[in-house]
Amino acid sequence: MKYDYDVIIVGSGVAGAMCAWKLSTLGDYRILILEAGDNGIGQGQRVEFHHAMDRQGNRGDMFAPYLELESRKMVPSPEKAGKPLDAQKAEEKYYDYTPESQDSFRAGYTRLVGGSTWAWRGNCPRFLPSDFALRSTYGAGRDWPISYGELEKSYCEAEQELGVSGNHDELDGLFGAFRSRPFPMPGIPLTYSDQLVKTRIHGKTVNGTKVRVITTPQARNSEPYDGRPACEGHSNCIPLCPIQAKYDATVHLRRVLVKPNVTLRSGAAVTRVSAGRDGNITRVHFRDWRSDDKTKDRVLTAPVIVLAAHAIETPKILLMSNVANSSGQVGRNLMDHIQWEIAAEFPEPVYPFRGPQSVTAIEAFRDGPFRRTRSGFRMTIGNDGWGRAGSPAKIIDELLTKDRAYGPDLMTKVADRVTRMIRLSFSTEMLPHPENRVDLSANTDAALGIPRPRFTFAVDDYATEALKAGVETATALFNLMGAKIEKKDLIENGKLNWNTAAHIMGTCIMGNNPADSVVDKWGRTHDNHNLYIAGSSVFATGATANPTLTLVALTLRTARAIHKQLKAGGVHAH
Amino acid sequence: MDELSTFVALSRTLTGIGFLANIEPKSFAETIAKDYLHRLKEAFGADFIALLTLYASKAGAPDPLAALLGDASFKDRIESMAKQVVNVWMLSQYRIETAEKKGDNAPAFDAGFFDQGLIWSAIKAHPIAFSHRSHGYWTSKP
Ligand SMILES: Cc1cc2nc3c(=O)[nH]c(=O)nc-3n(C[C@H](O)[C@H](O)[C@H](O)COP(=O)(O)OP(=O)(O)OC[C@H]3O[C@@H](n4cnc5c(N)ncnc54)[C@H](O)[C@@H]3O)c2cc1C
Ligand code: SF4
Repeated sequence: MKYDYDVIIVGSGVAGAMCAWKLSTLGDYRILILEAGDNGIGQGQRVEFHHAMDRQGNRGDMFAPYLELESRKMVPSPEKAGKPLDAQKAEEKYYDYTPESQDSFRAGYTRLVGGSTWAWRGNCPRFLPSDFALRSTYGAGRDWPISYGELEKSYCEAEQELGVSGNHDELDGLFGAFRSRPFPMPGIPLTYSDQLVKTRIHGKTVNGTKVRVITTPQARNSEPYDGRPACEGHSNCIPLCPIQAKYDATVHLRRVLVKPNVTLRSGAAVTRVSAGRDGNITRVHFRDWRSDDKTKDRVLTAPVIVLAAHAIETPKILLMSNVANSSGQVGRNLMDHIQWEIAAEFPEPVYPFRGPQSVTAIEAFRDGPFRRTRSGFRMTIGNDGWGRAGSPAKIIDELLTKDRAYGPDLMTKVADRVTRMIRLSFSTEMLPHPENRVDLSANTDAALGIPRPRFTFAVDDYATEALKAGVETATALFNLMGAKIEKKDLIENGKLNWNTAAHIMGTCIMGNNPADSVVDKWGRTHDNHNLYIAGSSVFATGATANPTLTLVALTLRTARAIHKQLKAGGVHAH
Repeated sequence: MDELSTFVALSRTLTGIGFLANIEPKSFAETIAKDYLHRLKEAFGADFIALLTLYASKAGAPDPLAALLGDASFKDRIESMAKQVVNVWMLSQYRIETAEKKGDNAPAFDAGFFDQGLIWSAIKAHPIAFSHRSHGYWTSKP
């Protein structure tokens, strides 16, 4: 059978880029990456994104640098998703909801060449052994079909590829998570504020747990690495690192696209996959929005197809194709990390906004027998004032509106308050519930007529109870620091306050049983032996660690499985 | 006083920023002041002119700030204009407040000189996204 390519990968984010790169190192495969976005991946584009922020009033917006791209009108993505249901329905033009939906789905993503890592923070903790065996350990959620031990080598490889800085000794053996290799570079040095915080709380016991302030493993260079500079502390990691000291997927795109057999086709919005004459899923359908005939159905073929369009667009493609869904689980078990933060005024200046937005974390609350009934939480210490809870602009406004603090003392008052701003954030795990789902809306997007995603979503008690525990712990920690908490209640007018971590997981869930899962432990769909899924949509549980390191580790395994399959299938017989 | 001088004097009164007392002609600071004046007039029209006019009527008072804040019309739109004058100098940003959206909930607009915002030196930080320092500077007290 003659195919256009050996492998077609849909999506050029970190999952797609990493899969393409790994495959290209394993064999001389003809690889096509189909990407809905259309932007550059070089230094010129980065500078342009940086300047785009100059024209955006709200620099704090996590998508500010990307709002002027033409692609965003052609292949929309959620840009105002971080809001409660009512507010979101009024403003967000991409997400739709079923009438049963109790909460909004607040996580956003980008549709860019290079994907969402342009905007990510870069934190890269590993999952814990118990995260892979939540049901057998605590009787909650699900077990993964793989263990921490099976993934450990791939974790090391992922850390190498993403350029994760971290301190081996602080993390080796954390809740049983052994590390067989040190990080490729040492941890990012602690900020001045981290040092002040650490002095006050490190080694203290809070709610029966010993607190250790440690450096978050992060895909941020602590020394020149992989041709990229050490972090210069621009404090702009979200939404864009101006110097690429923070990893993003353009690293692997640039690396793989120099190979003559690897092609990127941008401006290509994939709508579905379909079976060839042999019954295998070998055809990828897409629309080329840069062409004269934007809505024309175009088709390219390959014996292996990888969907890496992230955890909303990937299940949408499967649902539009009506494939890989004999379990009925495609789009279901949708998860995010449900997050909240407590803001406070430190007793002395901590001088935020100097260095990365967050360097340190407290890992001690992630695991324990309490996970039978509620999630753990992972806590980070911010170096960006109050983060989403309030900007310096808010402080200025408060001083002027409430105190009418105009005049000679204004600058001193602003400086006094802003330099003492500090936050503790905590991310919790929600369980995989089939009722939490994304499916296809009857509404289509304007340019290409592709169905928008429609959500049915509710935050569960498992996460809510952990948020309450997080508030209690953060309050105790701030008391130890002598910091004055800026009050914003977790529950206001009977409604739960929470933020998204923008960690979208679970919509093509991984498992051994084809009756209740979509992919096997290699990321291959149970129903179609040559259709693979790469990305956090395959996660069986969400844990409390940021997902990207784990999804990269899994993707590297997936690439090896594809290589094995291509070798066995005589790929060059086209 | 011409309009620019009134704006500069108003800015100084509201923010307390010393250098606004003697801006050299044709200096960068004058360029910024002209630009901010132009932008605020463009964005707010009559509301902004009303603040300038009110201030001009108080500029000769022994304590112009007290006179301005004490005036019965210093509220609502005029007060919002005063906040925006502070915002442009501090953050190079202004907000269009409405009855529903106030303070940092109101949409923000860039005023063109982000890295010249006076907040950065006040809080001893570089403008966000514009560090001119090298790796690790953040470990020590500024
Ligand atoms: C503000 C923010 C902060 C974050 N911080 C962290 C963090 O600190 N740590 C962490 O681990 N994770 C973080 N994340 C999450 C992280 O960004 C994602 O886990 C990661 O980018 C997912 O990679 P991906 O390749 O699967 O998806 P993406 O990076 O989203 O890439 C998917 C690609 O598919 C393309 N695509 C979509 N639809 C189609 C289609 N129909 N046809 C063709 N192409 C298509 C998109 O354009 C995109 O290029 C953060 C996310 C955000 C938004
Ligand atoms: S602190 Fe600045 S240089 Fe460092 S990773 Fe973040 S944006 Fe890049």
